[in-house]
Amino acid sequence: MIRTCGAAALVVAALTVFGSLSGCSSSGDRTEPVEPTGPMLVTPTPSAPPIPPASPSSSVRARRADLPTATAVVQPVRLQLERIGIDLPVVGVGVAADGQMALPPNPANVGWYRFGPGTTDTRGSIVLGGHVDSNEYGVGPLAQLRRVRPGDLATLRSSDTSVRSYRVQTVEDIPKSKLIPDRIFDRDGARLLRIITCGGPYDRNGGGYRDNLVVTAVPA
Amino acid sequence: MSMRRVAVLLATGVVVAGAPAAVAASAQAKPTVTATVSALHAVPGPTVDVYANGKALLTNFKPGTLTDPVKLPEGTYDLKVTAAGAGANGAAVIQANDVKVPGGADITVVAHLSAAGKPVLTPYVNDVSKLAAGQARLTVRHDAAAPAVDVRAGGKPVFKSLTNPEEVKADLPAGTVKTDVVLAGTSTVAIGPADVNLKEGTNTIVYAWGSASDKNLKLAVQTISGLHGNPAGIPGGTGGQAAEQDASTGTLWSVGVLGLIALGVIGFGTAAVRVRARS
Repeated sequence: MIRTCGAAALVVAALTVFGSLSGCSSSGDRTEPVEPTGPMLVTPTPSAPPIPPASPSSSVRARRADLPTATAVVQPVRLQLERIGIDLPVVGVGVAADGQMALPPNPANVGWYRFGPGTTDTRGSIVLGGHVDSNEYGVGPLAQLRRVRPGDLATLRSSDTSVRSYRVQTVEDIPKSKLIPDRIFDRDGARLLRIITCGGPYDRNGGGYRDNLVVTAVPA
Repeated sequence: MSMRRVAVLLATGVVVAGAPAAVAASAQAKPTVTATVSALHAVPGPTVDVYANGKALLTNFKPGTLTDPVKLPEGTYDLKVTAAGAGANGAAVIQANDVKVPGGADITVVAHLSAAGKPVLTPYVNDVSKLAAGQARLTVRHDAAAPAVDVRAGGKPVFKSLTNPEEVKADLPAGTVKTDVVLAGTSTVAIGPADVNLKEGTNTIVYAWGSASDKNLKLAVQTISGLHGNPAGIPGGTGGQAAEQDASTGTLWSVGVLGLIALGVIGFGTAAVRVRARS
């Protein structure tokens, strides 16, 4: 009898897990349309602090207005989540034609949003994203991402051979329609690592995945 | 495409860069509204001092240098550029009185040569509106004693017939652009080519300055960052197999568990039968 109860509990657990599998969704949701670039409109400078009285001696600094030289960027090159068996190459990605983050076509690769913060930046969110599966390649390793738990360690290896660890803080299923890109791609706030893929039910009629699975980790 | 001068400044014909705060008497009664002001020295030759309302604002300001942006209260400024060390009463290289600095604007005041080679001050309003994700803004300003020019990227004219002190701009995918400046309608290179790194989320402002007749045309660059937009979202899966795999795994698992339950029940029943048999 005890065994039966245990088994029943397992069934309930299984159904619960299964029922909550919602993850990311597909395209379609432009929660935050990028602002069109206006003509010579001037954006008001937000709340300037009180101006101290001018002192002639407080000379304004000037520097040479030379052409900036492109500096070599340190790129994350490998993502590891040991407990759930994820060990994947990371490649730099930008923006797709539809305005979404571009992702590597092969779900065995994870994309790093190269316009945002990287591992050497002291502020903002490092954003990694990858397909959970693909028509061409099938199910990818990021399908395991939903097994991640708060407290798990994520490791990022970078092109400068540095290794940085992050501790998972939250694992969220966010409907794509509710995702706030300005929060995910934040460049000024606390240093975070965000690993994002799709989750939730899949709509074969063009809707794609409903949710984004967002794993947020802090420097360990 | 035409340059937008700060309106009132136009009236005076001249302008000048930032004076630290309290010099603006006219702004004091109102809540302080500030402008963000940078200054670029783009007149070949002299190192200068800049005075605002009689007080030294910039000293030893060298050609080809750009000040950090400073916040200035909106208001009216009397500006004077003198040779370095000439003092507040020294002869003006450039002078501009009653120069209005409007609140809220991001302005670069450029000391440069007119097309005819005369030192002038031109205030430009910088476009600091947000960019689309992945984009950068390129602004080009003609501040050289030179005729009309075309600006080329990768050998193709992208901005045509730009004359002093006009500016042009465009939002482009971030990246490095090989840029040169040619005499308008020709392939006679006046400046460059130079690799201009258009960093995502910035307005990269390229100034052509110097004098064609003195053969010292060159480029200066100002970069305003923080204008980035963010991607609209993250796609994440194109096949649906993961979801379907989860679904089938879940189903199988449920079946398996149910099977276990069934076995358990049978086992329990069997045990009960056995017990009964023994008793």
